[in-house]
Amino acid sequence: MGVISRYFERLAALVRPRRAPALTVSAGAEGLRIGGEQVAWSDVRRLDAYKSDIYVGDFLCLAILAAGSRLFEINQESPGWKEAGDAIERFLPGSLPHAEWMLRLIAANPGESVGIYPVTTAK
Amino acid sequence: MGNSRRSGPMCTTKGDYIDEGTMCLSLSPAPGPVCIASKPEPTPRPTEDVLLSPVFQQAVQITDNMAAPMTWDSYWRMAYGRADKVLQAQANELLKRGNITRQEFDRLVKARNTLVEEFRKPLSPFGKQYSEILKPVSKLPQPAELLAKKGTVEAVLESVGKSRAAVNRLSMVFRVAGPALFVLDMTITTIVVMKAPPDQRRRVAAREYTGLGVGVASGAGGAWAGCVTLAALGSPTLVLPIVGEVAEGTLCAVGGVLGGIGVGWVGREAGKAGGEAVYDFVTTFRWE
Repeated sequence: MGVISRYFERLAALVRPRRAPALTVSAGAEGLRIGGEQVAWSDVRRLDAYKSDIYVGDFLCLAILAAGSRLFEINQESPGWKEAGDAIERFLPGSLPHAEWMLRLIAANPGESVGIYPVTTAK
Repeated sequence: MGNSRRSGPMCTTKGDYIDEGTMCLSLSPAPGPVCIASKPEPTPRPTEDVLLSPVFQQAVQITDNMAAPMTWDSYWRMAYGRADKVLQAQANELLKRGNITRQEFDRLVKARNTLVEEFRKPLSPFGKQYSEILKPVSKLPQPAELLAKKGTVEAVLESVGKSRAAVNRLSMVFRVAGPALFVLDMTITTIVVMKAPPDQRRRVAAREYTGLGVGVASGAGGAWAGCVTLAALGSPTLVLPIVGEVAEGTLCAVGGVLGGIGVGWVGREAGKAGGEAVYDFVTTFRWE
């Protein structure tokens, strides 16, 4: 099965252009850096984590709404995902603790979301 | 009108004569009721009465080639859902308890990631590809006119729910129809074999069962190829947030169905021809 899967993966790479790699996210005292864009902590308006259904399994994502209606989306495959979660807890007062929102997200059904900032009840 | 009977010896076994001359030398019948034939007329097999429409047969076979791998995937989806319920319960327990240690948190996240990874391993190539396509792509802010189509965060969260509903429907269809189609296909294939003349039955069995196996395998390959091809055609729509992702996922599913039907049918016919050829080779081959 593994050999066949690898064969299909190589064929897929030939037939279909590769998807863009997940954006790198890094965080520090000044704010979040997503790809080449900088979002200051004071510019963060809203954070929502959601669990996306991917047929078999689910995929954790984070929507970030910043000042000027700028909307970013990062996901669990984004390099720096875990560190960003820790930084949000540390530098964004009033947000849910990282462990809590992750647990709420794991406890949620695929398709549901968890409000991280400002804190709301799970939808 | 008086009774009549055909001329000839009375109360003998049929066809068991031991003398070719005029003497009536024949085997005595086995003990039992008198005046019945020693060899009863064979009763017709039940399959001889079955009328099998070629159109119906083809329709079932073509659909099953495509549905079998998708049914397999949909059962893995159901199994994942059940395993995920256990993780959800654990997460809820930790939330109720509060005061979660870093170690507990890390362990649960790792368990969750491993679960997703392990459940995707046995999927058909189509299932893996479809899962990959459904993953939301990380995004930077879009130009103003595209952002207007996306709307707000609510639109993103709403689309996640819609996508799940669509995937649920697809999975449910295959989970219900798939096993029924497979059983029907197996039954029809067996009837075709049983209806064949006894001297041809093994040959027909080799043809039909090989066709079934190759057809299902080809259907799996075709579903993947169809998904990749149509999704590739639709991928430029990814520049339209939400619309692009939904379109690519839908195109993958539609391509999977079409590819599974088309390539599965070709595979089934090739499998039948191959099975027959192999049978002929094996049964006529002689070492010189």
